[in-house]
Amino acid sequence: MTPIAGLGLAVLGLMLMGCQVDSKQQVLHTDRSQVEMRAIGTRAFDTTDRALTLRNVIATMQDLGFVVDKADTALGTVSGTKLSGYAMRMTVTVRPRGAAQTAVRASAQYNIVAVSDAEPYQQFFAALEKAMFLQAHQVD
Amino acid sequence: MMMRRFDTKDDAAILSSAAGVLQDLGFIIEESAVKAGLIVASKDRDTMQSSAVAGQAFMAAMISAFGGEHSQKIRVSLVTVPSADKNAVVVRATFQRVIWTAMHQVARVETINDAVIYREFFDRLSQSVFLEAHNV
Repeated sequence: MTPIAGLGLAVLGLMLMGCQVDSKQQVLHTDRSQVEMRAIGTRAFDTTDRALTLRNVIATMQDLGFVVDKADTALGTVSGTKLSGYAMRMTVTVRPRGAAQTAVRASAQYNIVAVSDAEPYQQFFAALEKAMFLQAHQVD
Repeated sequence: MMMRRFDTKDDAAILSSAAGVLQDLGFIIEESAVKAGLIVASKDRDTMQSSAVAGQAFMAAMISAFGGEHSQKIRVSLVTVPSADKNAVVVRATFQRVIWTAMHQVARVETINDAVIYREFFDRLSQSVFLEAHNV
């Protein structure tokens, strides 16, 4: 082995080790800040009917091709999976917001990547608005 | 390391905050039982920081060629228990992960034991509990 090839392998080895050490950081890693993600994935609706909101979330997820894996009315969460050449998993939580509103928060992953673009969430909330007959308000 | 005490009797509120923090971190909630004080969640990710590595395609090709680690499922169970004196809620979290090669073979399974990761997770939870308690 030439010295240069040896050096190349050593560097590659170090890079690979670096990756393996790093991968544990994925536990807490996010592509965007917490504040940005909350803004992208959250909308407020002018209703206090949390149960009805949850049912509309389930119906909307089904309309969009998700199969619901889990729904918990006590915690206000719904999780589902969409399989369409890809695997998309999404959790939606519904919680009271102030005295007159209900906040809906969605977060999703596409295969092994977090969904951090605004557009898929916009599509979800556009469909949810129609199901709810209510306007979705941006939350800052 | 895996536990933190919260001075409240409202463990439903703690669970609700925990669900929010797990969502912040991109976890999908798989199982929950409020009366049992339980949330189980997971997320699927690659084994590299997506934004950190330059020449990532090259690296990914190299790693595949060497049969290295490619993707991982990170799992967490979070449990709330009333403290012995009943004046607080103790939250316990356990993170685990399964790592696969590009050939979909299991390369490694482990429980995550890094104090720093748990500390940061619980710090985020504390912050979220505080913000929600004050309706921010």
